[in-house]
Amino acid sequence: MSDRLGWLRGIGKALIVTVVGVVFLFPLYWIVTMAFKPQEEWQPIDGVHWVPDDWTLENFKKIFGRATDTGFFEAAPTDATNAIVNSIVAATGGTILAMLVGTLTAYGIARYKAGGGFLPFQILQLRMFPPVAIVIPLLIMYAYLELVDTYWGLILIYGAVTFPFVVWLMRSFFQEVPREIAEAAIVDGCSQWGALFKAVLPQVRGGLAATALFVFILNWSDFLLALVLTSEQVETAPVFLNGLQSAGAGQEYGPQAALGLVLIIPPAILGLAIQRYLVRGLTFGAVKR
Amino acid sequence: MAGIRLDNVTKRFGSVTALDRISVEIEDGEFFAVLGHPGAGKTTMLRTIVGLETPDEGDVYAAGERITDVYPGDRDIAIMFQNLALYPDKSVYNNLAFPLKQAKVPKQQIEQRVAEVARVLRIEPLLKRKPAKLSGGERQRVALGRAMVRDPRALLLDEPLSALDALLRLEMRAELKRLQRELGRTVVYVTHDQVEAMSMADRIAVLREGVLQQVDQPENIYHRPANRFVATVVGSPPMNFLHAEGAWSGGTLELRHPLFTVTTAEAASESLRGRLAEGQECLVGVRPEDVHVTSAPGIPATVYVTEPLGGETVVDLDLGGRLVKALVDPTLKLQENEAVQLALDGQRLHVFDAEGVGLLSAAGEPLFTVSAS
Amino acid sequence: MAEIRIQSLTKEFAGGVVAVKDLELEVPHGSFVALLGPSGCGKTTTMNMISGLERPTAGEIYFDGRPITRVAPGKRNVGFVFQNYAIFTHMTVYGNLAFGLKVRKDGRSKAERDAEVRRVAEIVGLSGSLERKAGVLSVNDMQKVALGRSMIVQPAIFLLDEPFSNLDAAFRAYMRTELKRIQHEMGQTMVYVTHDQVEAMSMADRIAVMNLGELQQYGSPDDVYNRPRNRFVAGFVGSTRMNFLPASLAPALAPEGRADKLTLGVRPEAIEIVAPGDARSTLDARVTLVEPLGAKDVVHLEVGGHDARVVGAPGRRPHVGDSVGLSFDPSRVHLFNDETDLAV
Repeated sequence: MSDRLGWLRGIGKALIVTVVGVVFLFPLYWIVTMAFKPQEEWQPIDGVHWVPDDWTLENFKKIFGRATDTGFFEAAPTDATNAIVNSIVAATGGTILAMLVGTLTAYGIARYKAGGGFLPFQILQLRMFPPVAIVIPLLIMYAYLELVDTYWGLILIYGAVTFPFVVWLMRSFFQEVPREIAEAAIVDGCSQWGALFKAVLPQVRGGLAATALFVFILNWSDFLLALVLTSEQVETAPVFLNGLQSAGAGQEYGPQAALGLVLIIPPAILGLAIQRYLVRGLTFGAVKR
Repeated sequence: MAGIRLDNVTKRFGSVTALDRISVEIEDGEFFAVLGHPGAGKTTMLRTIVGLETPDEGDVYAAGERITDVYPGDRDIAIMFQNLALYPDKSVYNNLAFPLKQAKVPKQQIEQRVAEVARVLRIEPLLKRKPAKLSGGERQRVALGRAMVRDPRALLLDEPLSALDALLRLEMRAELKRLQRELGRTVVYVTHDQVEAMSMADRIAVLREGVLQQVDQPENIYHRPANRFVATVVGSPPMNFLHAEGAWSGGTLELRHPLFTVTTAEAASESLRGRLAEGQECLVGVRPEDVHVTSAPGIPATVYVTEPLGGETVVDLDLGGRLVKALVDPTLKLQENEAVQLALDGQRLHVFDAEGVGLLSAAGEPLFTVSAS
Repeated sequence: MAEIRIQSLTKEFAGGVVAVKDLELEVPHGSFVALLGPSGCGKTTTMNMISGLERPTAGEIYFDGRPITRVAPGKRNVGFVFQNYAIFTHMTVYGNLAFGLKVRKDGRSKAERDAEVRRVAEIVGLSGSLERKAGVLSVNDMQKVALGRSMIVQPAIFLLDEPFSNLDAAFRAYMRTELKRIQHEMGQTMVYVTHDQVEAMSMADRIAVMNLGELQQYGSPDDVYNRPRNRFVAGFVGSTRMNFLPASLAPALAPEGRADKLTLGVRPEAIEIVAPGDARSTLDARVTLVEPLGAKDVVHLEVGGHDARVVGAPGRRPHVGDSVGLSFDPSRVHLFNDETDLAV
């Protein structure tokens, strides 16, 4: 009796996994195929082309400003290189800023209970605010400060917006480290700062890596803030991607997909680079439980 | 005064007073044990000495200097935490070398010192390993090594053996004691295990809820406890207490229990004259090893339960409605509910007042005689 | 009041770890059996199989002749007391004790249940605290509540897994006495898991000594202490560890010609320290450490390159470095052949 149910349970599980898998992987599949489709196949009359009939690298060449084939309806040549560089600068800068300030804040809260019991929640509250609500006032403020369309402008806002995440995540990582490890370092002759850097931070390397990656991806994919706060100088990739449309060709799905695919690469590289730090078990053996 | 001194140290956490006006002087080179129940304030006391806690009142001195405000790293005192707190990301070698690197000791000296400590603690083969790959006993020794490596003027050990299994604990106890003798450094050793304290310490400080009860050599703690608490804290099975009433007949003090009477020798009686009045209640304390089951007529009692421990047997006896424990030879086989005769060793008796304050302990002197009523 | 019979019980975990190997054990009606051994020896796993929390890989368990190996834990009618007292902190002591009775719905009147609660409270020593909230009790009292709660439903079998290990030494000693007395009065079959040989020795009728998943010896405290079957049991049981020395140091004590393949075991209290040249002295030794423990002294010695300990009454204490002689009664010497047998 239980055997038959087990069989059904297995089918059910497989079904759910398949559905979820499809939902998650479909966009990726779509982008990949679209990136290699020539213009004719973007919205063909005869229905969806699940696989490109005519694989092409045109879209990629287009976004790097070296289109040879101008297509049926002419579109202006475009070069995404600048936008990509801007994205890298802004996202990296914002991440570094958030990590620096956030990690120190988190340590202060975790170890010294800085700010009393409510500070962590107050910080998290900052994030509860949908950015869209503050974006116009922010623009006005930036205009006044002459930060519109500048690298620093983006870095500051990216840092500020992801700072609560860093605090929240790093705080829980710091809480995992027994306070005696910092104390041992202090008794061994370190200053408070020394204890943090030499004894505690090595314990949370995994946490730092995971948090940094998470925050980087948030900043990297930001569209709204960049849209409002930049125009030509510091236009980031997501904004640029949005701009890949023309009166003639409409939405240029192909190049958009190609750029989308290219934009996956930096976060992926970062992820691979820090992979070895995402290892649990660094504190095993240090402390008896 | 080359040792460590606490002068009226008080430490509070919120509404809880962890240390209450602690004043104690630890001699240089002494093995000093702090004994008490969990929560008594022992760890707080250690942390205050090393500087991880600052006293609310009072001061800490080392070698005559006031170190109350000195940063922990500058006190030249090392501590071994109960949970060891080894640096998990560093090898054993680097764990040991860390304090020396902080003190900017030249590399060659570091190597020498680490090698020496590793040799003494027999952890040389482990130098390249990380803490996660060590056994409990090995980690213990590395933590000890890290504390020893700077050759501090005092070593504070917080229940270093409590997590080890019985066999290892026995080994480490003897080793620690030998080590301390060789190094000649002051050791302040915190424990809740009275056997550890008794066997290792030059002097024991008994701590109860933040208040010092008695600071004395193990002998005296055992044979001349200052109060009931101290009497119960050392010695296993714990001391028996029997209620009696004081009665003065002539110059002699008698302690009257329904089933027996304790007669105090003259000189001893004199010393108690102001302290125990006629009819006043008191407690007669007698350790289980000083309660004997005799064949001769004595104090009547019934066997409640016997616990054979192999080398000796603990017998719980009903003495006039109260339970009393006695240690007897394992060859003596007693049955539950059997009636027996008891004799109490007058040379090992103790008298406490009704509040538990110690009045007099025989400690081997013939100060008391016990006779059945 | 049930008899437990364990037959060829084996438990293997994923990864090839054999926690319990081929265990054979019989716990008679109303007896108090201790499962004693170091951590990892398989005693807790065995207990878990008796209670039903683990399924054996092989073998059978019988309660009163009925195989219960596949019966769910809740249906086995066993009472548990664990290390971390599972009591309801928001209820009063009375409520905690009464809980098991209320849940059972066995047709008792309220007055009967009340009487039962008071009776158990009396036995465990909580009569005065019945109205207090369990959450504010001391750690010791909480454990008494846990004990009372499992007792009140009168299970046929009582299983206790190191229930007193978190409590202070004085209370542990007290509960040992009380538990033994309770068990004798109520006559329930009790299986008690511990790594503390003092607990096992003082309370149990029979002790099952285990190591690495295998039963080493099963016998009364007297058996296990005075007639250890192998070296492990001899070394594990006994407050101050037995001394093990190569028999070659005292060939007179070993049977003809086998002195170099045997190990001599003698308990610290069975040795007397005498003057070095004394006629009674069997071995020469040097004092390395003296531990005064109040009621007795433990003297550490070095004998022919090996460590030994002697326990004696306090009094004439030798000094570190003294040369002394060791005298012991040959009838109290155990001989072990690389871990298997003994011949005395």
